Amino acid sequence: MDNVDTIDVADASPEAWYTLAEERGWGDGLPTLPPTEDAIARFLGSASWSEHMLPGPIPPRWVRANARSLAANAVMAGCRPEYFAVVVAGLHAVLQADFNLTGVLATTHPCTPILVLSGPVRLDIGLNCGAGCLGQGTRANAATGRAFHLIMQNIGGAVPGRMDLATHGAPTKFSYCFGENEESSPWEPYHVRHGFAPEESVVTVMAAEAPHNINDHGSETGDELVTTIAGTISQVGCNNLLLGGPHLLVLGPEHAATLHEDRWTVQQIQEAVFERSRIPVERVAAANRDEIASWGRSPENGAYTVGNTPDDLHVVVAGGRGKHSLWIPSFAASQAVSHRIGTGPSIDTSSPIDTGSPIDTGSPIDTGSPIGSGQSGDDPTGRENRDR
Amino acid sequence: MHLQRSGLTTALIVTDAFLPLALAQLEVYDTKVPLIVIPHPLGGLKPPEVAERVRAAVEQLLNGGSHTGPLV
Repeated sequence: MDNVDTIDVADASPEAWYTLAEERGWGDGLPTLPPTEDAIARFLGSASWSEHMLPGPIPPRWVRANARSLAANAVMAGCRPEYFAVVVAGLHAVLQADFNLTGVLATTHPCTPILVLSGPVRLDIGLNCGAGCLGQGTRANAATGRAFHLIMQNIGGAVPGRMDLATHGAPTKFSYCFGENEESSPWEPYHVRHGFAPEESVVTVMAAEAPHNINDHGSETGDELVTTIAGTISQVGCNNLLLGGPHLLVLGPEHAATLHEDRWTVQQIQEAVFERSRIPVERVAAANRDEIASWGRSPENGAYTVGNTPDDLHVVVAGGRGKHSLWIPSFAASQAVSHRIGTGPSIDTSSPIDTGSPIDTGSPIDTGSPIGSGQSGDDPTGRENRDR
Repeated sequence: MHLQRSGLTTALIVTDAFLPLALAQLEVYDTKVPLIVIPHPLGGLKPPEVAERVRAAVEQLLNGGSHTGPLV
């Protein structure tokens, strides 16, 4: 197979590119921008990129992308160059073994990596951490998350129905990216609570379901609010019951204020929710009790916990006005992972690993090239080039 | 793959829904192993249905599998 660096596109108009990308299976169903030479050059020449940031092979195809193919997908998603470092940092995070990216991408579960940003980067790229932060309307949120998912699909190979076997998928597979509203949080930022310095910019990833709303307009005390939160979380049909694992509580600022006014700390929230969200055994069908047992979990005092420990509940503050918070359960067979933005991989990607590794640095790497001005079109899949 | 390398006769059982994924992984690992392809799903089957899957799998195994390694 030839090493495809560029492709020629006779007509690079928006409509023609949209059709071509659709025919090649490079899009997510929505229009993308054509990855031109100029656009790629802007990305790779920006302060947002350095060669040391190149990630390792991306599953399930285990393809080692080059910078151009990564940038091509970011261009297609509508990113500005300054978003690129966040996209790449997200890749570094999900490529850590604890995240189990292969499982996350291939499963029938509707999970997908969520990107939660902490630190100065949120302001640097204009990320929405307030009203509508998980909805539409902000380019940084939409395009950063979208680029990440296009890379999973176009380079990693996680194509719906082929190697992404989610039964239904979810709207969050288009884009799932927001930032903590640190300015409205009464507690230390998430990344600081997890050992990072305040001035560091960090992305945290989790294999997340779509958000579940926690609507509480009635509670006047933190204790009452915790009861509502725990009641929302206490549900069967959830992998956090089946396997334990991480899950995410996104407190709206008004709910956070109620809790803080009653002197609740994050740790106390985690512990109280863990206790109050226990699921009585009788709410779980017998066959599913066997299923849960097969995963090594058993009830305590006649009830199952959601997550294995209180620390499995990750807590952030985000959103705007209104008495709503969100519970985001996860695939659970995957850990939440944090990674500093702007740094290289956390794993050694440079050398062949001994037997059993799919990484072969002798094989030609992914390519993917920008479209020449009005002419060539990029292959955002970065096709591997193996001698056979 | 590790079982195969240790000298054990090995086959990979995969449901048809996951066949593309399995083939992709075999290609990545450059491994040739007999594939036993059974209908999806496997979870939630009643014992007679499981028995039928087993019968079909054994038949494939005796015939060398429905695929051998990745499709070229």
